[in-house]
Amino acid sequence: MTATGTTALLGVAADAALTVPGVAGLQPRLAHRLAAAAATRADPMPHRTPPEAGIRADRAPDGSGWHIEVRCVLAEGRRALDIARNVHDQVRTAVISHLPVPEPVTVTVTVTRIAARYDAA
Amino acid sequence: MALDDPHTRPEPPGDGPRPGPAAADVPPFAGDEALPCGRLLSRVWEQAQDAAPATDPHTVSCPYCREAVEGLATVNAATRVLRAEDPPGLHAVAGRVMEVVRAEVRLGLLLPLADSDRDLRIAESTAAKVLRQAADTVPGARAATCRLVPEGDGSDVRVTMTLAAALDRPLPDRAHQVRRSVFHSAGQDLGLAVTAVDITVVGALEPWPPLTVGPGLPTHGGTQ
Amino acid sequence: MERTAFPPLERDLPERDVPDRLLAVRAAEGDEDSFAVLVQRHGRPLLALARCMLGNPQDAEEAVQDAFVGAWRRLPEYRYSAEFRTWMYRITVNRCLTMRRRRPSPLSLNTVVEPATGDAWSQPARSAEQDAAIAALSRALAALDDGQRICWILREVQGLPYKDIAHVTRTSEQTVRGRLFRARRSLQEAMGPWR
Repeated sequence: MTATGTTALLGVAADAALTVPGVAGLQPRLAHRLAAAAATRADPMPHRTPPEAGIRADRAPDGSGWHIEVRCVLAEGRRALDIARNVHDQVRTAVISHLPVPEPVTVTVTVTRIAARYDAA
Repeated sequence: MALDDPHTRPEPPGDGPRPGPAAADVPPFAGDEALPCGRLLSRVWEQAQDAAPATDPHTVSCPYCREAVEGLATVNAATRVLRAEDPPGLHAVAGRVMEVVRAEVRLGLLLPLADSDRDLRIAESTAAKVLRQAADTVPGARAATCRLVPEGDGSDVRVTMTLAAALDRPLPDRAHQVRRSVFHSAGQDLGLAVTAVDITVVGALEPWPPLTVGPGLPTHGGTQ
Repeated sequence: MERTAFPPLERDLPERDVPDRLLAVRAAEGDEDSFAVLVQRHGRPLLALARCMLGNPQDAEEAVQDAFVGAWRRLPEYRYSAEFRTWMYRITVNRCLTMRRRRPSPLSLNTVVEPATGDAWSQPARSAEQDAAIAALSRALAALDDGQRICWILREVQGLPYKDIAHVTRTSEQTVRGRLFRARRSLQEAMGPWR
């Protein structure tokens, strides 16, 4: 898959994760977070990190299929396990149906934060 | 802000040592001078600034001491205005600080959630926060550290927590309540398979915020 | 308790009644919300301190922001040898000193502080002479050496006990009192014309 293809895959996975009830957002990975923090410092306007920054997609070492990692921030009020299961299944289904040819897809969901009511926005 | 918040309002000094004439055996400060009545200028000023007025009959009646104290009146008046000055806005500063803090989040270990078929994990720092809150729901208990470690090859997790607890009830009793609350929250709010909750009480919990009477800054910290 | 009086961040935080020491332990383990409470709890006096030391609100905000971010990064190594408040004061003072060295910005001669309500000096309105006296105090303060200025601000503006000032400035109480005396003397002389 081309680089553009991977970006599209990340977008599909991000969209699927964000539609799950109880998901408040995706946790950008370190490089994105540092870039955002630096941008905020230089420029007072709020900096938006794209949701795909919370997804990582890797080819399996032997080239047979994909491994997707989703880092998500949950909203308070539901059991983390239930939301994580739901994210796992939704992302896996969405990625499989996005691939042009059938390939195995494994998904890891990591809950990085549970946002309290006051900072869920 | 109209809030009468003891943390944010500087109070006039009302504590610390109050060296009066009894401290005359301490060597004088560089540049100090003795007033015609024999008192050191530095001590007269300290006494005037630190102690309640009119506690020393000498200062009240001595014209030299009184003059020395009055010499600070202008500085004191300008200082009062400086003290009452509105500091720059905390809101914006706090917002920027927390933005950086959230960008530098410390996740800790990644722990398995209780699902044998899927690869689901939760950051230790996030799970610990939820479990501390569960501990805090027990009256007279406040969690301090909370560490979680995976146990065995499955999704079992062991919790180690330290507590500050009020001393009005037996500690084992309270620790038991906290353990129950933590177990319940681990299953109900997180979905973690917690096998054990080790609890150590490390400090006595005093009422917070501390009740302050009269002038002086509040004492911070409630545990030892 | 009048809950509406709290700013939103503090009002909703369940950690509001938790002592500093516990919050610091939690923050060291990565609990951002506990750290947010510490920022709310100690930010204002630190901003006032930084403003006194640096002479303007913009630099004060920058110094306090850097101090808190530095504290967050160093919390895992903070061994509670000092109270959180004292530790924060020390970090903020050091940050202010670094900023002053980097760009020695003299206090603006036009610095005019807002009058305090209910103060005899500000009723009904402060005269030009009083404004001049406060500007003179700010200038005299800026002319003090760092050690004296820090001790004077921590004592006379912030109301810290000698013990804490000694802790913040890493010196003895006796040295703190000596610096206070010399600071008072210099300020009194500088304010002479306004007596």
